[in-house]
Amino acid sequence: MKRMNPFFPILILLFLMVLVVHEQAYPTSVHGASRKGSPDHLVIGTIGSPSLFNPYFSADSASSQIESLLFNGLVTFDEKLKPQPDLAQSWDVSEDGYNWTFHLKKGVKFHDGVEFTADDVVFSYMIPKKPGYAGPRGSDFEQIKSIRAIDRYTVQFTLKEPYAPFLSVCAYAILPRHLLKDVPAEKLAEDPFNTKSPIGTGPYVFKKWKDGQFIQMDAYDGFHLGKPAIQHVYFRIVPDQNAQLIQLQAGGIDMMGIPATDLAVGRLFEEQGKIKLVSQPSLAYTYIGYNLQNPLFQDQKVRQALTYAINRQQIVDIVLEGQGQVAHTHGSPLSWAFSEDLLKYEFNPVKAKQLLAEAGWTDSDGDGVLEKDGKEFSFVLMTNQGNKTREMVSQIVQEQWAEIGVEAKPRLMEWSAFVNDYVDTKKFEAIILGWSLGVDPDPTAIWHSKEIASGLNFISYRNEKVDRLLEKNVRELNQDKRKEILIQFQRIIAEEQPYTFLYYTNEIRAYPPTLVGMTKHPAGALDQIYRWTYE
Amino acid sequence: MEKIPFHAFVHESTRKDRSDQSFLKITIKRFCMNKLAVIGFLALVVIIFGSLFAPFLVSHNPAAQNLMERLQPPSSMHWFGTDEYGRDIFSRVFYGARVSLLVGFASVLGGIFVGTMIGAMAGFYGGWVDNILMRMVDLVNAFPSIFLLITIVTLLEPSLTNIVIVFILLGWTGTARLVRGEFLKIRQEEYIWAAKSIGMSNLRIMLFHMLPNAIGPIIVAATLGVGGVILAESGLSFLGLGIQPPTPSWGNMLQGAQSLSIMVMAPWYPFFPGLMILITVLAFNFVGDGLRDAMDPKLDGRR
Amino acid sequence: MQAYILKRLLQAIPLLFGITLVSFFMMYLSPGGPTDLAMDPKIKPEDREKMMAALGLDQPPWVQYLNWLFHFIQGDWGTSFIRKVPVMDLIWERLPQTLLLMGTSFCFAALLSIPIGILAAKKKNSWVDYTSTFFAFLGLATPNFWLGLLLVMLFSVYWNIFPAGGIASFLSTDSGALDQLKHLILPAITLGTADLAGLTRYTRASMLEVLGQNYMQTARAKGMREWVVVYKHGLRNGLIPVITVFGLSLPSFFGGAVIVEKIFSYPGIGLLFLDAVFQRDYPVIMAITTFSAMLVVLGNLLADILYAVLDPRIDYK
Repeated sequence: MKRMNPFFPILILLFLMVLVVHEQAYPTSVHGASRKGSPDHLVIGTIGSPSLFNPYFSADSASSQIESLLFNGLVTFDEKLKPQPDLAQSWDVSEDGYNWTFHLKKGVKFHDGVEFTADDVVFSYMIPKKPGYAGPRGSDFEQIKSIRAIDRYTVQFTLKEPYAPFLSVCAYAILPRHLLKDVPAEKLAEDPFNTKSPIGTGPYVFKKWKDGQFIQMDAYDGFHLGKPAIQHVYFRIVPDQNAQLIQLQAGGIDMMGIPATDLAVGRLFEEQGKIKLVSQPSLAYTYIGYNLQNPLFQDQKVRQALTYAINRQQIVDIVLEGQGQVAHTHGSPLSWAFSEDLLKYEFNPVKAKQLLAEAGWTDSDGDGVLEKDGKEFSFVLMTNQGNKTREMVSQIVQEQWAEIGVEAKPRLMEWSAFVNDYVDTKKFEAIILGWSLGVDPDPTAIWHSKEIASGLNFISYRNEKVDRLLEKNVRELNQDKRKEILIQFQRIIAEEQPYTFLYYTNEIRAYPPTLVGMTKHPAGALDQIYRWTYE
Repeated sequence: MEKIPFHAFVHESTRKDRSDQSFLKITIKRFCMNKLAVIGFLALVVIIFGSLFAPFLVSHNPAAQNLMERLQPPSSMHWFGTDEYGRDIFSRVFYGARVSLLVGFASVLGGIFVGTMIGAMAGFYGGWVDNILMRMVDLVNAFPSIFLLITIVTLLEPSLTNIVIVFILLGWTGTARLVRGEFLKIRQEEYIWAAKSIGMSNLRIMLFHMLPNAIGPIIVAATLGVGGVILAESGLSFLGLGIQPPTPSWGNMLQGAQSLSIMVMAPWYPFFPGLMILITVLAFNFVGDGLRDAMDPKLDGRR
Repeated sequence: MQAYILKRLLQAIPLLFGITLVSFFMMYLSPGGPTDLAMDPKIKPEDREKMMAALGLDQPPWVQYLNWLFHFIQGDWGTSFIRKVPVMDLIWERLPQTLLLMGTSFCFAALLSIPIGILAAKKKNSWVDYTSTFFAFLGLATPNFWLGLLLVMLFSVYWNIFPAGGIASFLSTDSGALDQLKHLILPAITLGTADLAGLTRYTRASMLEVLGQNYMQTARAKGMREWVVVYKHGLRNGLIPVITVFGLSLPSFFGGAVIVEKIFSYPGIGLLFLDAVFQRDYPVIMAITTFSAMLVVLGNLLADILYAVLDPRIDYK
């Protein structure tokens, strides 16, 4: 065989690369408009890659953000978490609470021009009730017994029993029946509709998805609340926090959420005039959950002492850079169903020690760790890795508990393993986790004793009085009465401290300096995006 | 059949031993003439000494937080500054050295142990044993190691022991190949036949007569390997899959310093652990290269 | 030659089979599952069980494996649990980017290391030699993510010369290959530095050996000009082992891509894999592991073939 020049393979490689570069040519400068001139677009940075755009099958926040631009529900919830009309003009509920009737808006059109009607509602809300459906939303629709289109613009739901949070179910997206009616339920998850051509009634039309890079959406001219002012919205996928922040500085991203741990650079960029920062309370709180099956935590005094020993205001100041608020019970101060008038265990290590002594815990061998009946007060404090604030909390709490003679051993675990091996099986001792609350204040899923076995009450909290209050809360259609019930519940939880409630986190967002029209919605970052505009 | 006289075997063996001794001397002498290798060796001595006696050398408790003094720049009080909990980075770097070096040494020693056993068996017995064991080597080698690393670490949870186990699982193949090669080379040698014929057990032959021949290259590979493991652990830490905090390792210290805010506001924080990794790996590489050159008979005339 | 290649390819089959088997059961044993991800108060255990069943995860592991294997042999790599699209589509979308990154850093390493290595060998013990050796050692000892972060800090944050991530400018007027190259430079340097360092040292050693050979002296004695001697005789022979090392380092490029893609948010296979591991997207994990194992096998084979092509002394039967 003839000898080959050793550079030859390298040349071939170079040539191939040029081909690849050519083939990959990227659609830049789509609209010819320069960034600084007349911004007709908004680039939103997202860490997570979306999965698919069908709320009945997706469960990640990156997807649901995009879904909120594509689709509408029957009702929507405003900044005060009160229900407002969306695709439904109005609704009424029968005296007994069994029948809900929705009167739909007329002339609303899907992105493909077909009119939205009662049939679409029946079709969409029946998806999770079909036997072949295998998605995460089944239980939300459990209360529905039947759905009926009375005429083209009227729908009636019949419930199995009166259910106060029902309107929150009616925020689910309406999908176009005319495009999906022939797809069998078990094939719906994999239908190209979800990834290639989602069509809804929302303010923005799906344009393009470059996997791992961006999603482009264009303003929908026929949007029923008026054409959005910003012509193009891009979701740019940047999976690394640092890279995202640098893009924000460089102008490659206009809007993004900023974690408290990176607030310092956020402020720097704000001083440079690149962005404006908005910090607002959210519906999420962080807590330390104690496994109540563990004898260590069964005494209420012990749990109160653990809370007393933690300087939560300091944690908010340091870990959250002050962008948060100390929490005392389940629920959100933003909700209509909340009262600040509760028992609060403010930082008091002396009181903590005293309570532990009352509960029988003393340091008899002088090693700095308390004992009772020969057992040391020592446990593993777990949290998921990848969450810098929780990691910091675990280490600070460890130090503060050490002061009162309680030994916590922080341990970080990868999320899926953490949930599966420790949370679901209840093999943990104490965990730092957070809840992001829904628009309806119903806490049943987290606190009712029927949720211990396989639900989210994994700390095994059991209180008959609480169970009864929670059951009453979902039957009570009168909001004022329901509020009273929920406040009673919150007071019990605040007193018993099955969790040490740590703090409510603020959402910190960076926007372009000239963008106006944003609302302070605690759950929807893109609330009313069709009204946003550049000054 | 001709009987091999026993004294011939003894003679052969002692002759070899004597040459081993002088070989060692020559190696050490040559190693000492290599400036880089000596510098590397001294650096390693300092680092290992520093990590062993860390409690006597540093004035701060590496775990003690001081939330009032977070992210302080280097000062006379904190030579390398403080981290996001106000802990002293200097003392954490020294305590971190313990963990990083421990992971490095334990993984490499474990890898050598497993690799030597498997390589020795393959090389000694040959035939189908060799075939099967070498297919195992191929299998491990063909696994894209980072993918395997990530999958196993998530599977086993990233504790110190588990990370060492993973590095052993991935790291034994090099030694195995090396030992097997040496064994294949010498299994036909006369003195091995001699040892077999006088009824010496296989294990004895392998341990005392064959293995010594492979020790040189194994030591070289091991020295270079420790540096490699330290680098790999820091890479895993970057992905959040290394040794988990609060146990300090250089890798997870770097991970803690990874956020843009810290890199902009407190650049010394990522700098020092990174520098320590760099120096340590550099030192291991110098020593490893020095050893290799010192043991290589081919380089005799040229240096 | 063909027979040799065929034999090697056939040998690879049981190897790949073993790899799929091991990775499948490792995955099966790993804690957590694709349905744990969203611990959303809204997802109930009943739904979770139904979802598991729909993904076929309710069956015994060996049935799952055989199922997977059966489809795989027919060329069906499965459907992503999370994205619900064929895994092949995902891989094809990400592969060009990763190959581009690997190719660029490969060229970066090769085009620099070979001349530097030759020069260092040619001028042994000169300042060129010492400087290149110093940097080579440094390059081998630097954690690549640390280097990546350093480059980002310097070139993107402080000096704003190169972009910090992505593969092309977003909505800007400059476009095309040049812009793409700008995005490639930092990741390629990060990925290629260790190999650059290693190859420089390797080339130097290999050239030193060749330069001392008799035929070089002969060529010089014939009165050929020095650079002709070095190029015509030295280079060709000195590079043979270097080429082999290239082939063997292919998998390390592939592996290093995970970390580099993470730092630079570079949408390639590595990021896809990381996501898949954390989301327990089994079909994607299986596909990428198998795929890269194939690449390793191919890389080794390629190295051997190149070796044979370049070095006529070696004869494969």
